[in-house]
Amino acid sequence: MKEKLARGLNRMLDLMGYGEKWREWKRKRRAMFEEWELMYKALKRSPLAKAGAAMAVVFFILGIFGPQILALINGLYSLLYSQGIIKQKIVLDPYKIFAGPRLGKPSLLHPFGCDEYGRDLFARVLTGARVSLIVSVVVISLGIPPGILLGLVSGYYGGKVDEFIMRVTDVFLAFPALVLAMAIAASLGAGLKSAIIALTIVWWPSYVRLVRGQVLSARENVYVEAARAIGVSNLRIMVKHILPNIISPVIVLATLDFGTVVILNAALSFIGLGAQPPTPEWGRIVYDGLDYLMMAPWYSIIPGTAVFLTALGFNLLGDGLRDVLDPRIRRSIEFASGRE
Amino acid sequence: MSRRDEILRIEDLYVHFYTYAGVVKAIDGVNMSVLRGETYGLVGETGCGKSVTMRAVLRLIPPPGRIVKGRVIFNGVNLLELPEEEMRKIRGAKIAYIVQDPTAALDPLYTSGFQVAETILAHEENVGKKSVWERVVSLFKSVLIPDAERRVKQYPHEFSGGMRQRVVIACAISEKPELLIADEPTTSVDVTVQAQILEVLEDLKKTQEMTMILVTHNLGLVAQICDRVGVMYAGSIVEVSDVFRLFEEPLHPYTRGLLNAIPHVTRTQFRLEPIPGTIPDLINPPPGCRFHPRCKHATGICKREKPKLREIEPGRFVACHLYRGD
Repeated sequence: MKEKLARGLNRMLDLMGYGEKWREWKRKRRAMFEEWELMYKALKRSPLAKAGAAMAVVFFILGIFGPQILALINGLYSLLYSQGIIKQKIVLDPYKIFAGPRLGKPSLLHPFGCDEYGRDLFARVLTGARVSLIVSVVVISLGIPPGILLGLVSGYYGGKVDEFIMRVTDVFLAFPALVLAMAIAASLGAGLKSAIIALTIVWWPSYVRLVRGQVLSARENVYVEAARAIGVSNLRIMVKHILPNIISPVIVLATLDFGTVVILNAALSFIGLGAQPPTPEWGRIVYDGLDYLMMAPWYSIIPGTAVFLTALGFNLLGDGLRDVLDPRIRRSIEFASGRE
Repeated sequence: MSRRDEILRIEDLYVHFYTYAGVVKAIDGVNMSVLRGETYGLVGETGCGKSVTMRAVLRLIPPPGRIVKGRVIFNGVNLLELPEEEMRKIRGAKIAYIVQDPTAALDPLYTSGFQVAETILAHEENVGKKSVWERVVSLFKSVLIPDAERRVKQYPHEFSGGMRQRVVIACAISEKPELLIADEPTTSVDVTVQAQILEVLEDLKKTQEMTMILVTHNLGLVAQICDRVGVMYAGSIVEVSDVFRLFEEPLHPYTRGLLNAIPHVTRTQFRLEPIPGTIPDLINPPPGCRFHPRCKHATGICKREKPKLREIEPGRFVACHLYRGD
C-alpha cells in the first residue's frame, strides 16, 4: 500500500516534470526523512498518542471542511426528501431558526438535537469547530514567535537584557492566564476578535520562559563556543545552532497549548467575553444551554464534550510527541516494544 | 629577539570570575609574548588558567568571568578595545581557536562540510556556493580525511573522534589564520591518533606559515613540537624558555617539580617525585608568590612579595625570588 502510494506519487511528479528534482531533494534530506519515519513508527506504537493524533486530525478536518460536510449532508437530505423517504424538507444550517423542533431531542435528522430557537445543534457544533480552529491557529502562530524570539535573546545575551525581559514576562505570568485574558478581553469589549487578541497577549510569556531555560543549557554546548571561536555572528548562532537544538520542547508545548487555547476561548465565550451570539462558539452554546439543562441536557453536554475531546486529543498527542521527539526516550520505546 | 617579530603580546592580564563563593582570581597578571612563526607551548596543571588566558585573547571568557585589566596586542592592535563586530571578524579569520573538546565542537544537526563552510561564509561575502564547497573538500583533504567528497556530506555522529578532530582543525584553518590556538587538541583521543593529529598540525603550520600556541599539560608533546614554552602556575606565567634549555635546566622550582614528576626512560628510578601540596584556592590565593606553600626553597620574601617575570639569561624568563639579580 505504502509502496504503491510512493510509486504513484513519483509517477505523478515525473509527469509534471518535477520527478528528478523531488528525488534529489529527498536524497539531500535523507537523514531528515529517516528521522521522521522513526518518529512516525514510535508514535504508532503508543495507543494513546495514536488516539490523540486521530482526535486532532478529526478536529482539523471538521474545522476546515465543516461547511462542505454540511452541504454534503444537506444534499443527501434533499435527495431523500425528493424521493419521499423523509417527510419534511430539512436544511442543516447553524443560523437558521426553526429548522427543527425547539429543544428537540437528538434524532436521525437532527443528530445533536435542536436549541431553544429550533436551530440545529449538529450544524452549530460543527461550525463551532471552525471558530475554535481559527482562534487556536491564530493565537498559537501569533503568540509563539515573539515568545521564542524574546526567549532566545534573553537566554543568549543574559545580563541586563535577560533581567528586563524576564521581569516583564514575570509580570504577565503573575496573573492566571484566564484572569488576564478576561481583563484584556473585557477592556477591549466583548467579541471574538478581542478574545483572540487577549489570548495572544497572554500566550507569549510561557514560551519566553521555556525557550530561555532551554537556551541557557544549549548555549553551554561546546559547538556553540566553537562557532563563536570561528567568528560566526551571534544572530546566526542563535538561529542556526541554538534554535534547532531546542525546538522540540517548543513543538510539544505548542501542541499541548492548542487544546488549552480551545478551552480558554470557550471559557471566555462562556462568561460572555468572547464570541457573541449568534456565532456558534462551543463555550457560548454550553452557556446558552445551561437554562435548559434539566429539559435538554444534550444542548450543553454535546458542545462541552467537543471542547473536552479536542483538549484531550491535543494533550495526548503532545505527550506522545514529547516521547517521540526525544531520541533517548524514543530508543527506549523502540527497545521496550521489542521490535528494534 | 626584537619586538618587531611579535605577533601576540599579553600584558598584565587579569581575569576574575565573580562567583557566589567569592571572586576567583583565575588570571593574575599574565605577561606573554608569542613570536611570529613559532610554536609556543603553554603548559601547567589543570585549573592553572591556560585555557582562560587563551580565551581572553579571543574575548570568549564565559560569564561570570571578566577581564579586569590588561592588554592583548595582536599585530599591534589591542584586542580588548575592539568593538564586538571587529572582534568577530578576527575570530576564525586571523586567530583560530580549537576548543578543548573538539569531539563535541560540531553541531550534531549539520553535516561536517556545512560547518567548515560556515567559517568561510562568516568571513567572506559574495562567495559562490560551488566554490565554497570545493574549498571545503580540499580542506578535508589537507587535514588528511580520506574520501573527502563523501565525508563532507556526513554528519558528526558518522565520524570517529580523531576524524571529528580533523574536521574541527579544518574549520580552524579554513581562513588561513595567522595564529592558531590549539587548546589541548590531543587529550580526548588515543596515542596513535594523537600522533596523526600532531603531524597534520605541524604540516599545516609549515605550509601555511602559521604561528601556533599549543595549550597542554603533556610535557612530552611540548618537547616534541614546541619552540618555546611558557609554564603557568595558579594564574601567572612562572617561566618562559626555549624548549631545549627548559628540559635541560629548569629554573623555577615548579618547573623542576613538574619535570621530576615524569617517568624517565633512561634514568633508573623507582619512585617519582611529586610536588607536595595541592593547587591553591584561587579565591583566597596565598600572599606573595603563589607557589610558596609548596616550594622547598621558600624564604621570607616569597610570602610577602610576588616575584616579577625577569629575564635571567637571554631568552629565559623566570618569576622567582631565587634568581634575584643582586
